Amino acid sequence: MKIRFWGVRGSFAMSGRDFLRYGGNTTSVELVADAGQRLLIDLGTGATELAKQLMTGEFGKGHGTVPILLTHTHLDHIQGLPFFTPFFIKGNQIRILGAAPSEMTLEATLQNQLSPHYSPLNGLENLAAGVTIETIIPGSTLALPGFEVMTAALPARLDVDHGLPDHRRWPDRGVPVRRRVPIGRRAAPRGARARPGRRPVDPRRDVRRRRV
Amino acid sequence: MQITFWGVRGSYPVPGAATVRYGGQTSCVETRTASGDTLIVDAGTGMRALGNKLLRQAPEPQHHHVLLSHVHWDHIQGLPFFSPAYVPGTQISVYALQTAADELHQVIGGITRHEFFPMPLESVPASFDFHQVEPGVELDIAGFHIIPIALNHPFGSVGYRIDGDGSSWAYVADTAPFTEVLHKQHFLSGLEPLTGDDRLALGAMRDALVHRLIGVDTVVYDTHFLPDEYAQFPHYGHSTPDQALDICCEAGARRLVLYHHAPTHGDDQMDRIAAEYLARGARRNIEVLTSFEGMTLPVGPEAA
Repeated sequence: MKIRFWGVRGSFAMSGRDFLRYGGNTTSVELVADAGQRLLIDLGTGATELAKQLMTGEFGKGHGTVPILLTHTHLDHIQGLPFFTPFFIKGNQIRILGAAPSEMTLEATLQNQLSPHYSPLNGLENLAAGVTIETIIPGSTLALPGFEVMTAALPARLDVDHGLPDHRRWPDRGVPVRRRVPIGRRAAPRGARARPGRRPVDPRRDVRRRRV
Repeated sequence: MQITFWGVRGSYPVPGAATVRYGGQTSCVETRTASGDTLIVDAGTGMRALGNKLLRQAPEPQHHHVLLSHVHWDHIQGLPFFSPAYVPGTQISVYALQTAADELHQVIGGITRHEFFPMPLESVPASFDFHQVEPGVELDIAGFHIIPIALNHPFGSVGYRIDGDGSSWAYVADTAPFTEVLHKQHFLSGLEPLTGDDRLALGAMRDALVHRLIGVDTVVYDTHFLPDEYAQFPHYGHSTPDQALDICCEAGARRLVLYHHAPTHGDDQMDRIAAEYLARGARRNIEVLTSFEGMTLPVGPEAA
C-alpha cells in the first residue's frame, strides 16, 4: 500500500515562497493498495491537484470509482470538493463517507456547502458523476474495496487544533473521526465485509485503547 | 487614493511553485485614501494576510468596512481568518447584495456554522453589522462614495464604483459578459436560449455598467478566462480580458487591471497574458495591467 500526501496544511491554504517545500494545500491524502484500489481521505485544496492526476486516467473517461473518507467537514477538509473535477464527469462513481457533524446530516452539510449562495454548482444533484453520501458511525469498521478501515471518534480540541488568536474555551463542537487503515497488513480482498461480530464500540474506549 | 491586491485568484486558493509571483490567494482588495480611510472589497483568502497587516499597523480596535461582490466561497472564506475580528471592540461592517429571502447575517454567518468552522460568527469578539446594497443606490462609507452596479453572475453579483480623494476606481467582479447568458438563480449546465426579455435585461445591465464606469480612472475586472476557455465554459459567469477591454474602452477608462485569474493559469502563462494584453490595450489607448498579490496602484490624477 502507498500513501501520497496531496495537501498537508491545516486551517488555511498558504501560497507563496515560504510554503514551496512542504506545500501549502490543505488536507488531502491518497491511498493506493497493492492491487490498485484507491481510497481518498479528505478533500482540502490538495484534492484539486490530485483531481488533475485522476483525470488523466479512468476518471477522465467517466469510468472511475473511488471512495472518499471525510474526517470532518471543517472547510479546510472539504474546500476542494467543488473543484474536484472527477465529480463533473458523467459515469464516475464516487462514494463520500463521513460522520454526521452533530445535528445536521452529512448530506445536508455538503448540500449547504454547495448551496446557491456559496457555489454556482447549486447542490450535489448537479454533480454529473454518480455520488453517494454515506454516514459512518464512529467506532464502526468499514470494508471498502481493497481496504479495511477502522473508525474512532476524536475528542474535539478545536481551540488548539486551529490556532485561533483567542484561546478562550470554545464549546465542544463536531465529532471528527479518525480512520486507521492497517499498514503492513495485506489489504483485505475486494468485496470483503466487515468482520462479523464487530460492533460499534464506545469511541472513548477505542481511543484509550489505541494509546497503549 | 490607492488600491492594494491581497488576493487575485478566482475559484480557490492555489499554493505551489506555479503561483509564487502572481499569488495563489482568492479575491481581496484594499483601498485607502491619502488620509488613511480604508475599505476592503471582497473577503477571499487574501483577507487573512490583509488582516495581519492591519493589526500590525493598528493593534487597537478599529472599524473595518467590507464590501462584498457576492458570497461564493472564493469571495468570503477569508473572513473567519481576518485576525482583527478576534480583537474585542473591533467593529466590522459588511455590505452585500441580498439575493434571496435569507438575511445577510444568516448567509455570511452561515460560513462559520460549526460544521464548517470551529467558532461561529456570533462568538467572535468583534461586532458585526450587515448592510444590504442595491444596484444604483449610492452609499457613503468612511470617506468613500460608492455606487453598487449589478453584474451578471450565478445567483447575483454586484460591482462597485468607488470615489475618494477626487479620483475613482471600480471593482467589476464577478461577471460574465452581457451577450450569451443571463445568470439567474438556477443551475446552468450549459447555454440556454435567451428570451427577448433576457436580451433586454442584458443590454440594460451592460449599459448601466458602462455608464457607471464613465470617468473612472482604474477598472479592476474579472478576466478569469482566455477566449478559448470562455468558449468552453460561457455559462460559468466569468469574462475574458477582451470583453473587459471592450467595456472599459467604451467607458473611456484610463486603466484596466486584469483580476480573478483562473487557478490553472500559472506564473509563466500569466506573464504571457500580461504582455499580450498590455500590447492590445496600448493599441486602444488604454493601460492594461495584470494584478498580482501585493501590487499597490495609485489611482487618479497623481497616477496618470
